[in-house]
Amino acid sequence: MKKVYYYVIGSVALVSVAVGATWIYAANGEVQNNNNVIEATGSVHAKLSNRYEKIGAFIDAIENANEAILSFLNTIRDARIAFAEAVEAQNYVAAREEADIIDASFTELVFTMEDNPASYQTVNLYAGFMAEFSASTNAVTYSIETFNSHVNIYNTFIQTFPNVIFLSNKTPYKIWALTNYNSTLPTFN
Amino acid sequence: MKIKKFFGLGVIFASFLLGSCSNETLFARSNAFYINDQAEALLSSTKYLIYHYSSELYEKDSRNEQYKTQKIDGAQIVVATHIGEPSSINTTEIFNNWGIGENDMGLLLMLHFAPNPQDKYSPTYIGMTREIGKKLSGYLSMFRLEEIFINTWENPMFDTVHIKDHDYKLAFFYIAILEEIYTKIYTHVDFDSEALMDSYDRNQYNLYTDLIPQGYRNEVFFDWWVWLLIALGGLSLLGSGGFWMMFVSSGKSFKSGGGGKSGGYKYTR
Repeated sequence: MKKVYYYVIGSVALVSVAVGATWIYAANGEVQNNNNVIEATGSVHAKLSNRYEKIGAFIDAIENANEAILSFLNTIRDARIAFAEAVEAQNYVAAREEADIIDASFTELVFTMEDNPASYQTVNLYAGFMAEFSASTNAVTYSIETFNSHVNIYNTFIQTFPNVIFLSNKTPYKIWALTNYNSTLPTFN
Repeated sequence: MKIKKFFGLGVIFASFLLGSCSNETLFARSNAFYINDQAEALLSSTKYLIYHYSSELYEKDSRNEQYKTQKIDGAQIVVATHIGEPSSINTTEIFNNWGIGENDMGLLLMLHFAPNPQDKYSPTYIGMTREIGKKLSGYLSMFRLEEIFINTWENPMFDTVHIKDHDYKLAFFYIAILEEIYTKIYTHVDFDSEALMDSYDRNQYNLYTDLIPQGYRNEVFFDWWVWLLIALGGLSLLGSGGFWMMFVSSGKSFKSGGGGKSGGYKYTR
């Protein structure tokens, strides 16, 4: 009789230790992976802010802008302010929406500039804009890809067994779409 | 019987070893580090210019207490050439793998060439990727670099002289970048780029091969347990002096990066 007790207590203890260890692993892993995603989010925002700041300087240099360009510039200006405010308030969903607006307008602006060579001062300014636009696009793309790979690791971690048992209340992150960044950019030459 | 067992164990170990290592075929680092002419497209004078002045910038002129306090010391300019389309190579991966620049103060210029069926020793220049390290991008924007490129590589003088001379254009561009780093990022009062370019002009067709470290680093990466086994094997050889012989025989001098990173801030054209 006593032997059976020992077996039962031993089995329960073993199972408890296993469950406890898995729980700790899941909880710690979630925190670690979540921190990586947060850090990558910050990096994307920093790259976007940097891009908007640099390209904003060129936009100021555009002269004799026609109506179409002026409308892009107004959209970009408003969205830049909204983006900065959203990042400040840590409202990342809104920040992403504003970033999408700005970057879509940037791409449109580049195409329009190509069609309206009179809207910028010199060839150097145009070439410089293209270089900066392309380089900052590459930098943003790189940081978004890093962000997405962290999101992928996080989502897989919380959705796979046995972690899913303990982390069912966690929401998977959304992958950051590269719609406005991976299109083929106009070439200069 | 014993020999057979040892042979068997040897085969198993060798298989594990080969399985665990990954040869760094990405884009081998040259022993000269600052210049990596895999396309064999550059003159030795151009290579020496880059090797000499990039070494001087990194090892001497960027080592100033003021720059160290600002954490902007250790700027490195690396020039590499490659046969193939720009899209066939990931310069960000190469940049981060080589660790160009200390404090992320690195700059990589990757020149792309196409094979020339008429003359295999003169490949055709097709474009350049300029990639700026994370911190350096705060001091040198792609806009400014493009401006320097237009004023040098695309200078109107090349319509009449040195028309297809990518060596001369590269030297001109490289020296202008040096001037920008010395005078705008670091606080050197002046940098005589004109005198340097004159000197290059006079010596462009001289040979400098002996002054540049030759060859490439064959980088093989092992898993941690292989390093443990190698260390144990090395320790067992300590008594015979064989362990030290390993170092003596592989002791080749080479330059290397400062651990700098790139966040993908690059432009190709």
